[in-house]
Amino acid sequence: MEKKKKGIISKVGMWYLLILAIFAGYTNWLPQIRGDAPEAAVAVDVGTVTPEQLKEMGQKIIFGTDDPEGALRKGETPIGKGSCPLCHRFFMDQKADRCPNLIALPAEQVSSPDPEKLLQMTEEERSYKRPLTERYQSFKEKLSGGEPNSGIKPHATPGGQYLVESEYCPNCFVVAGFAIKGTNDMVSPMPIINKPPIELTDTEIVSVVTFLQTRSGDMSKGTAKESWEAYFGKKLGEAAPGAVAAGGAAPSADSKLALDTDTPDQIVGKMGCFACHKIPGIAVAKIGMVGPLLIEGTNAPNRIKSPEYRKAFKEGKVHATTPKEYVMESIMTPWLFIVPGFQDDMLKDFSKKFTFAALSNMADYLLQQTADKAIKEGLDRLPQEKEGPLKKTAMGNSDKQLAMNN
Amino acid sequence: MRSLMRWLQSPKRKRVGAFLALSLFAVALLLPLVPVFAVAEDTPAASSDTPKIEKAKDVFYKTEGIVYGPPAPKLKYPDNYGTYGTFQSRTILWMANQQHLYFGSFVLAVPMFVMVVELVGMLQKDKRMSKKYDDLAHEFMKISLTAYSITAILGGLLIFTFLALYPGFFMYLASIFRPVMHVYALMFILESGVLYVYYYGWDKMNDSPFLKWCHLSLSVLLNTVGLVLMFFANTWLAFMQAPAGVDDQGRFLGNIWNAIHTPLVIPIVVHRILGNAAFGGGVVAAYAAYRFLAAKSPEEKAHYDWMSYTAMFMGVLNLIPLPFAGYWLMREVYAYRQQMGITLMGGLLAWVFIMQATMIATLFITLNYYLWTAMGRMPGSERYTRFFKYMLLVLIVATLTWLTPHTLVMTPAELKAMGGAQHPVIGNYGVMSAKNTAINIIITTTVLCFCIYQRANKVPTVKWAWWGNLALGAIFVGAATNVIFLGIYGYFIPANVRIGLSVPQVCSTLTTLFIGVTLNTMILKNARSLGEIRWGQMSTRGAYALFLLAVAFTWTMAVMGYIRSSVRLHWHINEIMRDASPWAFTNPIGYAGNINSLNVLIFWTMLLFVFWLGTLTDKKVHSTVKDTAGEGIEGVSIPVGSH
Repeated sequence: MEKKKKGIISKVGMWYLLILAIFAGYTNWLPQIRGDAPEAAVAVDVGTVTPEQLKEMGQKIIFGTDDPEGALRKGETPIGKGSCPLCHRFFMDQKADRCPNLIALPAEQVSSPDPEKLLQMTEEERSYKRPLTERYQSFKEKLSGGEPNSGIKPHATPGGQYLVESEYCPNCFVVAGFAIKGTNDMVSPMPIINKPPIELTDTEIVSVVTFLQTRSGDMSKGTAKESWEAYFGKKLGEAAPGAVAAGGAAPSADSKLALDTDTPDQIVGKMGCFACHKIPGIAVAKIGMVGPLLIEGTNAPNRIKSPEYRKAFKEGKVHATTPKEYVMESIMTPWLFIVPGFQDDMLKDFSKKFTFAALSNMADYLLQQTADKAIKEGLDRLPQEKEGPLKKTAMGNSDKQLAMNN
Repeated sequence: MRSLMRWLQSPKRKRVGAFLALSLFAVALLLPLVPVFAVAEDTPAASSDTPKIEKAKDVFYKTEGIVYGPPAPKLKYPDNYGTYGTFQSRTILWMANQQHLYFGSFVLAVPMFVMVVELVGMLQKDKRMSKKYDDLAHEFMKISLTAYSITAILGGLLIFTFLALYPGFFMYLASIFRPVMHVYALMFILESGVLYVYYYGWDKMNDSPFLKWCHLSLSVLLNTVGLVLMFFANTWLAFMQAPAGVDDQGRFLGNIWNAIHTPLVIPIVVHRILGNAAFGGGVVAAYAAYRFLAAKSPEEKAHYDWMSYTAMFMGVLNLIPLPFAGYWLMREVYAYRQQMGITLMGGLLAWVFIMQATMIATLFITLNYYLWTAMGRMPGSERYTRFFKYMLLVLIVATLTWLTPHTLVMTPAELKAMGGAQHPVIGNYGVMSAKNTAINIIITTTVLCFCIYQRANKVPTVKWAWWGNLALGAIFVGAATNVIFLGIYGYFIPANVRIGLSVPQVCSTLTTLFIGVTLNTMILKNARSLGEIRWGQMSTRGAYALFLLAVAFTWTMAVMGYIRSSVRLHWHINEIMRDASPWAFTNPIGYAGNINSLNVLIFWTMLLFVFWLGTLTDKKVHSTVKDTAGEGIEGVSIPVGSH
C-alpha cells in the first residue's frame, strides 16, 4: 500500500511538473518584450564641472545631438529630452514661434522686421533686461504669495537668475504676446521643466542655462551654476541629491521613437504634442494653444465628413475613410489637411518617429477622447475651431449627432 | 481558573460563558482602533512646538491638507537598496511576496468554506448528513491550521526581505501607514486567538445547539478578522498603484482614510476576496483528489470524492463572478489613468493579458471536463453525453477567439507579408467585441454544463416541467443569441459606444446563471431519481483534472498579481516614488512565466508537506458514507448543494 502511495505521489508530481512546464514554455514562446525604465541622467560632479562641459551637456539636452545644425541641414528637427526646439526657435532655418525665440546671434547679424520680437538680443542679454522691466515687477507683485504650480515667488536678479527662474517657474514672468490666449497674457504655455514630462534635474537645468548664456562663444558669461546657487540660496549638489539617479530620471535622450510599448502619455511626452495640443487624460497636455483640442472620438468622425475634407479627398490629397485612418493620417502627413482655422505648424517628421503599433495605440487613445471627457477636465476648444466652444448643451447635441453619424 | 471551570460545568453557565467570551472577542476586535482615533486627534495645530503649518493638495482627491510627513525620498542605488550576491533583489522579494500571498490566501479562504459547510451541516435535518458536513468542515480547518503557521513565518520572512533589500521604500510606506500598522499586527494576534479557540473547541462546542451556534459565531468572527487583515494588506498595494492621501511630493497629509481609500482599493479587495475563495476551493479539491487516489477503502474513496466535488463547487461559485469583478477593476483603472489601462490591455503588458486569458480559459475548460467525467458516476447521465462534444467545440472556438491578439509584434518582413500589423482574417477577432463575446459564451456554456450536471440522474416530475424546460432553453438560446448579436453589432459602431455593449452581454450571462440555475432547481424539485450518485467512482482522469484546476488557479493568481504589480512600470509608488534600482525595467513575459512556475512549484511542495502533516494525525474513519461501489450510497440523501 505504501508503494502504491509513493507511485501516486510520483504520478501527481510529474503531472504538476508537466503543467508548470507547459505554462512556462508557452510564456517563453510568446513574443518577448522588455519594458525599460527611462534612462537616468548623466551623473555630474557639480563641484568640478566646467562651463564648457555644462554647455556641451546643455546642447545635448536641448537638441539631442552635438550637431544640431547638421541635423537641420538634413531636414530633421533636432530635439533632445528637454524638448525646447519644439516651441523655441534657435536657428534662422528652424521653424518654431510658439514661444520667444532663443536665437543667439549678435544684433548686427540679425535683420528683423520687428524689433519687438527681440531678435536683436541674445538670450543672455535679455536676461539682464527683463527683470528690470515694469512687467516683471507687476508679476512679482501679483505672485507675491507664490506661483500656484511651482510655489516660487518671482525674485530673480538680472542675469542668470532670470533664466534659472524661467525654467522652474515659467509663469513667474511671461513675455508679452506669448501667454496662453484668454489668460490676459499671464499664463505661460511652457511646462515646469523639473517636473514631468520633461523632468530635468537641477544640474541639467543649469547646463541648459549655461548653453543659453554662452552660445555666442563667450564662456565668461557662463554663470548659471553661481546664479542657481544664489537664486535658491544653497549649493547645487545639496539641492537635489540623488535627483540625477533616482527622482530626476527623465525620458531617455536616445528613446526619441514612440515604441510599441509606450503609453500614450509617454508618446505625448516624447513627441512633445503637449506643446500645442490639449488632450484629455494626459496630465501634461492641458495648456496647448497652437493646435486643435484632440478629442478625436468627437472630432474625427465629423472632420472626415466635412466639406473641406471631402474636397481634399476628391482631389486625391487625402485618403482616410475611417476616423482612425484620419487620425493616423493627421499624425503622419499633417500638411495634407489643415483643420480650418489653423496653420501648417505641425512637425513633419513624425512618420520617422513612430512604430506602427505605437501609432495605432496613439490613434486608439485619441479616438477614445470625447467632448464629454474634455468638459469633465475643464478643457475647451480654441476660439478658431469652427465647431465652437464645448458647452454642456452643445455636447448633448454633438453626441446625438455622433450617434446618428454612426 | 479551576474554580471558573468548575463554575462553567453547568450547561446554563456554559451558554453564559460562551456569550461572555464572544462579547470579549468583539470588544477586543474594536481595541486596535483606539490608537487610530488618538492619532487622528493629534493634529499639528494642537502642538505649540510646531513653528509653521504647511498645506498641500492631495494628489488624487485634490483636497487641501496639512503636511504631516517628509516627501517621498529620492532613492539611490546602491545606498537605498540591498542585494544578496548577484541575485535580482526584485525577484527575491517577488518570490517572498508570492509565497506569503499564497499561504495567506489559503488560510483566509478555507475558514470561509468552513463557515459555509458548518452552517450547511447545522441546517441539515438528517443527522448523518449533518455530521458528514461537520466532519468535512473540521477536516478543512485541520489542513489550514498548519498552513497558518507557515503563513506567519513567511510574513516575517517577507518583512525581513523588505528591510534587507528595499529599506528606503519600506520605511516610507511604513511612515504613511504608521497609524494602522499596529492595527494589522493586533488583528493578526486576534486572528490567531480566535482560530485556536475555534479549532480546538470544535468537539467541546458540539455538545449543545447553543454552543454550536456560538462556535459558528466564532467562525464569523474569524472570517471578519481575516477579511480586515486582507483589507489592510490590500490598501498598501492599492496605494502603490494609485496613491492618495499624499501630495505630489509624497508628503502625508494627515488623513489616513484617504491613504487607505485609494481609487482602486475597493475593486482590488473584491477581486481578491473572490480570487482567494476560488483558489482555496481549488487547493482543497486537489488535496481531496489526492486523498481519493491514495484511499485505502471504498468508504474513504467515497468521502474524498464527495469532498473534492464540494470544494471544487465552492471554488467555482467564486470563479464565475471573478471575470466580472476583474472587468470592474479594469474599468476603475481606466478611470484612474487611461494610460495605465492601455499599458495593461494594449501596451507593454498586453501579452501577459493574453497569458491570463489562456489561464482563465484553461480553468473553464478543465472545469467543464471535470463535470463531464464526474457525470460518469451518475446513472442517467448517458442521456446528455452526446452534447458534450458540441460544448467542447464551442469552448475551443471561444477560447481561440479570446486568445487572438489585437496587434502582433513583427519584423518588417513579416509585417509586409501579412499586409499590416493585423491579419486580414483572424485580426478581426482581436478586438474587444469578439473577446467580450467569447468569455460570455465560455461562462454561459459552463453554466449550461452545471445545469446538465444538476439533472443528470433525475427526471423532472413537476407538472409544468415541459414549459419549464422550454423556458430554460429559451433563456440559454436567448442569452447566447444576444451575446453573439451584440458582439457582431459592435463591429459597426465607434469604440466609445461599443464599450457600453459589454453591459447587456454580461447581463445575458448573469441571467443564465441566476435565473437559469434557479429555474432548473425548481424544475428538479421532487424529481424522480434514476439512481444515487456513486461517490467514490470518479474516474482517475477526473482527479487529475482537479489537479490541473488547482495548478491553473495558483498560476492565474501569480500571473494576475504580476500584471497588477508590473503596471507601475518604473515606479515603486506610482508617480510618487521612482524605482532607482537596476531592476526598474519590466521583465519579458518569459521570465515572468518561469518565476511564476517556480513559485507555484515551491508553494505546492510546501503544501504537500502541510498535507503530509495532516495525514499524521488522521485516524478518522469515514464511515458515515456507505460506499456501494457501483450501487450508489444507500440511504444518503444528496443535498441540493451537492450537485
